[in-house]
Amino acid sequence: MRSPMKSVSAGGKLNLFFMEMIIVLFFFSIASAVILNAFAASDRLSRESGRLERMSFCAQSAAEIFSQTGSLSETLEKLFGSNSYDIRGDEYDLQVRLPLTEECAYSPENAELYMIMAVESEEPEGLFKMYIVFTDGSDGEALYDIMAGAYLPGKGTVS
Amino acid sequence: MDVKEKVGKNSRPAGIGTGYLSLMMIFVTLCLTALAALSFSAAENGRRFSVRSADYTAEYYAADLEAKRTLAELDKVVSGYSDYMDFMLLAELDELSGTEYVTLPDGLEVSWKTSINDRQNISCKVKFSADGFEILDWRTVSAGETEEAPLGVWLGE
Repeated sequence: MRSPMKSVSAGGKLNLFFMEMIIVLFFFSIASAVILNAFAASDRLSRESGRLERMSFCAQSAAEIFSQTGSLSETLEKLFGSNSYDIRGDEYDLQVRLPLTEECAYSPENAELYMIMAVESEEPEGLFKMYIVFTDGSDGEALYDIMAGAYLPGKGTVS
Repeated sequence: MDVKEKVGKNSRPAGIGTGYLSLMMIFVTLCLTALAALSFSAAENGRRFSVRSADYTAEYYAADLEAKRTLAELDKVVSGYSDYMDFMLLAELDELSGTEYVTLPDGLEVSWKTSINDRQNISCKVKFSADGFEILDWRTVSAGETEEAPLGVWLGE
């Protein structure tokens, strides 16, 4: 008895091969789309976590400098190395909005993030509170915030 | 001579046979799926760790601010007195909840704890004297760091 496979002609085998190839490509394209999505999601997650870590380190550095100096201008000077920031407010309440890159470097031209720092005096005298808020450069969504303090009894107002 | 006779009975036709492509596709898809799952899981773990670390930083500095508030209040109270054995001063210190004090010949030592989260506290100890205050201790301690509790084991008696 002859095998049914052997009975397929050369042209028929070619047709079978192409049909399999089409089915394989179809399933592979669907699987690739799902897998690529998973890779893209993991890339987005790792970017987000890297950015959050950098924001946290930046805020921590600012909080540590502020707790020693109690001064917003000195904190900015030590953190970003320049004194060209636009600090607004009165002697008891100051605020600054800094454009930063994703790496938390000061960059007025390319603002991917904003770091908002606000300092206010509290009772009793010499106690200062600083809010640090990071917002997204495009939609202004708050990404991370911390609150730090300094107690410097000899210091009357914020600077 | 006939072509079929030249090829022989056991020889295979040239090219990829039917089914090899499916097997290869299954193998490649499984490999890619495993890699994607590992990559996603690593990224998710990294993100969870970053969020926890960033939250802890925020909690720590909030607790630090609270501890500094207590210090400022204590300083305000203590600076109004020159005699640290004054009954009124000690009564005012008693009113400040969570603080413990020890009077010394040359000053007053006050200690308190501020909670960072349910597992950790900031433990502070400050010495007030005529020259102002000196921070003796300002460190993070475990919330369970209390008196040594002996384990209920048989000691052979």
